Amino acid sequence: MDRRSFVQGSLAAAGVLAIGGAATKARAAGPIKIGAVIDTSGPLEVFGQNKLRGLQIGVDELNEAGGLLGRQIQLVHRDTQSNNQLFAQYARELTAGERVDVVFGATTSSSREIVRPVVNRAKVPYFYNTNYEGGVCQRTTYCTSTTPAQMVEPLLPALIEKHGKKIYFLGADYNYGQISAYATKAIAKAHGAEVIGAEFFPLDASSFGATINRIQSAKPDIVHTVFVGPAHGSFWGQWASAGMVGKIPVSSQTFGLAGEQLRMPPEVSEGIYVCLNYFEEVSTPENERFLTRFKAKFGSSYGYISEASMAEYQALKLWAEAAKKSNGTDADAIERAAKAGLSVLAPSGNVLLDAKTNHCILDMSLARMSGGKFIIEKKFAGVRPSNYGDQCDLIKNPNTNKQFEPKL
Amino acid sequence: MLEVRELHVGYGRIPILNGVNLSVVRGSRVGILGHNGMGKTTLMRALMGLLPVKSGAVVFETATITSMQPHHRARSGIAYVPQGRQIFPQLTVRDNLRMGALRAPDGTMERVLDRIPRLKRLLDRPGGALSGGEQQLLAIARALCGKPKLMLLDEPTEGIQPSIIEEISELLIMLNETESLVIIVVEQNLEFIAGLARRIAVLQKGLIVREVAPTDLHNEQFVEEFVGMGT
Amino acid sequence: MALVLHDMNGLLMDLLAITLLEIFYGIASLALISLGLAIIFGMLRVINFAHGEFLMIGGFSFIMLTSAGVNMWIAMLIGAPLIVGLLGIVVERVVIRNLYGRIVETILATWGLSLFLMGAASLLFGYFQRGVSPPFGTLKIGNYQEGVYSIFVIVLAAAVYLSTYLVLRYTKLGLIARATMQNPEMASSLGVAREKVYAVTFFCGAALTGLAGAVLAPIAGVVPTSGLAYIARSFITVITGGATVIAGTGIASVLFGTVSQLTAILTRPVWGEAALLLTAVILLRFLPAGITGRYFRNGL
Ligand SMILES: Nc1ncnc2c1ncn2[C@@H]1O[C@H](COP(=O)(O)OP(=O)(O)OP(=O)(O)O)[C@@H](O)[C@H]1O
Ligand SMILES: [Mg+2]
Repeated sequence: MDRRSFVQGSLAAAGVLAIGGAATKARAAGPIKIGAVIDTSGPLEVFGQNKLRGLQIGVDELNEAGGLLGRQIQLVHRDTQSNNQLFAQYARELTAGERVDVVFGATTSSSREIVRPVVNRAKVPYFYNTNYEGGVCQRTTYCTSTTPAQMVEPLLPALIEKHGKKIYFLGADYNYGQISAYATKAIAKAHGAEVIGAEFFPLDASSFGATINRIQSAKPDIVHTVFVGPAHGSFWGQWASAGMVGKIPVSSQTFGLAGEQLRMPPEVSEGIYVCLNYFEEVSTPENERFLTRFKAKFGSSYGYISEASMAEYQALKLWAEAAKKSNGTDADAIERAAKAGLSVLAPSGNVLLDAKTNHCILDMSLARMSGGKFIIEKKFAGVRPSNYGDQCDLIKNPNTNKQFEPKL
Repeated sequence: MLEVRELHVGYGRIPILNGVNLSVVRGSRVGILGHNGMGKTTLMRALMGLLPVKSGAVVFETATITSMQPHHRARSGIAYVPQGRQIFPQLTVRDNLRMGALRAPDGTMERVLDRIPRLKRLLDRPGGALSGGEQQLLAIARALCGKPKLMLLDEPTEGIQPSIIEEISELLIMLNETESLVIIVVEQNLEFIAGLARRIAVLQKGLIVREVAPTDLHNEQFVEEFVGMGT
Repeated sequence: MALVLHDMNGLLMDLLAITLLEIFYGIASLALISLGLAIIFGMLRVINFAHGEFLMIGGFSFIMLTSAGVNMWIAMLIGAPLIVGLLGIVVERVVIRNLYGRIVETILATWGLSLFLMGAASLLFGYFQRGVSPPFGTLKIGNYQEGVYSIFVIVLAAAVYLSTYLVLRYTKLGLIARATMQNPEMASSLGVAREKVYAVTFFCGAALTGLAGAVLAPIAGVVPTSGLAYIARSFITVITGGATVIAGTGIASVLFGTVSQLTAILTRPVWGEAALLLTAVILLRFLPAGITGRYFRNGL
């Protein structure tokens, strides 16, 4: 060993010592662990990839600002591979093995209902951050993304006013579709409009010709859709092929959540209306900061950051705010803060937790596809989540644990 | 022409042929006698390359073909008329013959049909709809369409009426004499083999145990012995 | 009064025409997505669980080629079939060749292949490849409007079936394929290189699958998971059709296409799919070897 490398070696050793010292100190408190059960492979990776990235951005931000409650944040992710069988196992590993402070994730409702009981029983707060049919009511479960009412309530009146009162509904044949149809009918009625036809499709239906013909003879003013999965993607191509683009306006509750607009030719997607909590195109200072950070970390070929990914980031901010307020991360501390009134300023606008339902009151944006891009046409502040028949009231009945459904 | 040396063949770990030796010279007509289950079909299939050989060697003309694939054997001049005929049941008789004549020059099929005229009026029927005798003639015709030098026949008389047996026998002898087609035929029908073969090998328990002359088959003592061997 | 009656008739005629067109389209798309699977199953007795992914890759090939500036028709009718056909040859060589006759192993292997191809497609192409919109304009039938592309799909499916039939029935290649399918050992004893026939058959089946994937891409769009949308229906069609490639798959497509479309037209879309499944269950209950296991056994 020569002199120079000896000096370098000692310096390096000193460095190790210094870092080691810091690490010992941190370990005394230990990092705060965030568990994530998110599909980053398999069919649902199209949501999961950016969901996880959203969380990573949130964690980076917190750590750069000195952590939370003086501790660093550590993200512990398990790839659930779009496989429902892995959710229970990973949720258990995260809560019992890793002893995480909070669990984020799950995309489909079926996987959520696997994760939720496991995490609830472990008395760990659970944040579910995907738009869904609504109705989950449990004190340590926080559903932070949009429910059908939040999409439909601003969207339909705007379309009815602009295009007319006859609505034709097309939806996936499972509870999200059915509940959305219910919400559509209720809101149509409240605005003097009418649902003149409603059709439901099994998830593997890919042939929409007969339906399109029926729509052609029914001549509605608006077609409102809730399609789910790759087979249903055929609707748009068939609609365009039949020359219907621009003839009857179409709105959707799901379009864009997986970046569909990027793969659809602009001629096909032209004019589709969507009402969501978040679009990349939202122009708020918070969003600009978020996007700059996101692109710096992940480059520009990430697809599209939809509401589904933003909801994870916003949920993380909400949880961190709660932890700060109560100076703790256990389920009671988070619940206390939630009950006291919790809100954050997020890229999508103001995110306010509704203490009664543990869902979020959100700002919504109505956008219209034009030239292959979302153009935001209108904003709605403080839109309330679905609460079917007002049945969920966690302030009055904190021990409720069920998923309410509307009476269809 | 064909040399078989110490041929061992089996199914999985069950040995069936335990060192068959056989030498066939140009122009010959060889019969192989053997009871049910003695390994006659196994030997034919091994010679055609349809069964892998465990050890031993097969030499055809000048080439060692021990592990050659069946289609290469067919192309080098070996034809196979299997037990049960193995006609393509859903192909017409014509298409069955076309399958035999894949690599033959034009007109081969017509020449073969001139030798077996009985098939001419059946050309458009599905092979599966033919009678057993007709199928046997078709199997032989199909084999001939490839202009083979050596023809392996596995029990061509099985379940066939005497007049057609006669026809087959005459046809084979004629082909052997006029076109020097070498014939190896496996049989249990003593009369047929006595009329056709000039040399007869007896296959027993996976071995060629001895050779007899066709005339021996008229010898009562041998016949009794052969019949007795089965038990 | 007479005038009104005439109008009624006119309306009915329009409805009838559009309904027929829908039924034909249903049949055609089913027939297209099933043919390649049927060829590989009927000829080689290989159940290709990666069939859906072959369709998906056909779709992606079409999209990538068109976005690289290749003429759309060349990409659809030549490019995609060629690419998926070559993929088929590789798959046959690497995965299938050692597994002929071992049904369970081939199912497992091709199932693994399907997951692999899905993963590879998501790495290679991702979820955000911009698609191609359906070409041609629309056709007006009274109050209705139908895409000319639907008619193109119907005509193409008919052409593909007809040419497959002609090749199998009247060419030397077809003869060899049929003979090898009926009795591979005998075919090889007559000088047929069995492995070559298998490779060629796999190529053809895969190429037709690639074609189907490309033809449906403008309508359905393509994502790495697109295969999942096709796999169930094409399997039901092929299994119900039985081992006879053209007649079986053709008849099953006609049957299922008609039943599901007609039910969907007369009742609700949910019932269309249910009717398809119910028909398949009933048929297989009474004809366990498929439609052509019982009838048309001598067909193609
Ligand atoms: N695929 C197989 N697997 C295992 N054993 C077999 C197989 N085929 C034949 N054998 C056995 O090999 C032995 C020889 O069969 P082979 O068919 O060669 O007899 P053979 O002499 O042709 O009889 P036959 O006169 O009945 O045609 C028999 O005992 C038979 O049971
Ligand atoms: Mg035998």
